[in-house]
Amino acid sequence: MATTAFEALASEVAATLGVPDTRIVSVDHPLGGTDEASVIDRADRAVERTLLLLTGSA
Amino acid sequence: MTDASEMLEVASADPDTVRDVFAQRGWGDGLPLVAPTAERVDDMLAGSARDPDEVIAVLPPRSGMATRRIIAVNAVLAGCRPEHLGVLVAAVRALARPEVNLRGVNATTHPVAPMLVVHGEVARTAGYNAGLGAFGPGNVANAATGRALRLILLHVAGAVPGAGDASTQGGPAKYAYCVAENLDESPWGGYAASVGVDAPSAVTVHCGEAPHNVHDMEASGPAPILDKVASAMTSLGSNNAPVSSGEFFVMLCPEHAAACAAAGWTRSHVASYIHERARIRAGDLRAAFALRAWAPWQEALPDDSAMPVTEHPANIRIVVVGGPGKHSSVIPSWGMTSSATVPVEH
Repeated sequence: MATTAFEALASEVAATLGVPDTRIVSVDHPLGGTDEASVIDRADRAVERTLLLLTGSA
Repeated sequence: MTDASEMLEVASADPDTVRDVFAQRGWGDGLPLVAPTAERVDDMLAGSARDPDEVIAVLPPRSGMATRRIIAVNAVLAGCRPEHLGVLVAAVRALARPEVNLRGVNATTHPVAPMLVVHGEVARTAGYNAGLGAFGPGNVANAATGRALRLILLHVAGAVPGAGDASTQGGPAKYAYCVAENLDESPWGGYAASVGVDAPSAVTVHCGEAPHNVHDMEASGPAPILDKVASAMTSLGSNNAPVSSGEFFVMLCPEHAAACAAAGWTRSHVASYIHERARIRAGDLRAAFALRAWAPWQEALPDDSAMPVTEHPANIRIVVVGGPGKHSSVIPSWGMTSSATVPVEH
């Protein structure tokens, strides 16, 4: 899991570790300085994508 | 694990050409590079009698293998001399120690860089500067060894900005960060021995920020000097403030160290005093970091209590560095890392 600003870096690190196809869930950047309600909203919006990446279907 | 070795043919060994060829591959630190020809690498390896292909460490995030040969290649690129190789090999060993947490050091958005401190005989025999201007510039050993360690992080560990190093602003300490301990003017003996490393030569790696200056030209005794050290450590913007378990390296200049020792203060006394004085009002700290999961004892402190910026005096490390004058420095760590001191191999 990464925020949008670090999605490319997460993919780069995964590739250098030999797993370029790592499934990455991204949430809006930033998390720091974000209130709790916004964090929960981001988590809610990430659920569908997470299920899709884990199971192949939402 | 990744073996970083590869032979390249270039039209010219000119440092600018090498820099540009490397840059096309995403390598280098942006400065001209000495061509690491096979002959130069062999000459560099003459600085060690040991197996050039022994794996010294596997460095994250790229899981690159650092052999003596690979370390020597980067030493050549940076402008090192063979007598610097042993220091560099020891520094790589130190970086790979689990308590250093190199994966975290490279992954964080903080501007952390490994500071390399050279202790003992090798500082003298290999020409490291422990005196005036020790942090630089101008000394070949300090500059080239510090630069070589960064090149190893870039080329072997894969700590390339945006691809393996997430530092928001980066920092000048990420180019070269190497200094020697001024053993001749340390009133308390060497730092390495004080942390249990009894070797003729040793290195310490501390992953921290660039030095924060501490200026005192007025006090003749320890307390006022060390109060200013404590003041430099108690910034709400420091990572250590909310992390609370990080180390601080306090690099005392010889004159400040002598003032402490003349009053009968040991290295341990200095650390204990600073620990007592480097504190932030608990209410202010908790208000500034409301989302942090404070430890129960920190949560229990009344607002007007003074909370230490690091939990134990042993996290305050005292080293004597520099020449004449009354400027010391504080080097806060990133927080989630501990320093490592290792012997330099013969």
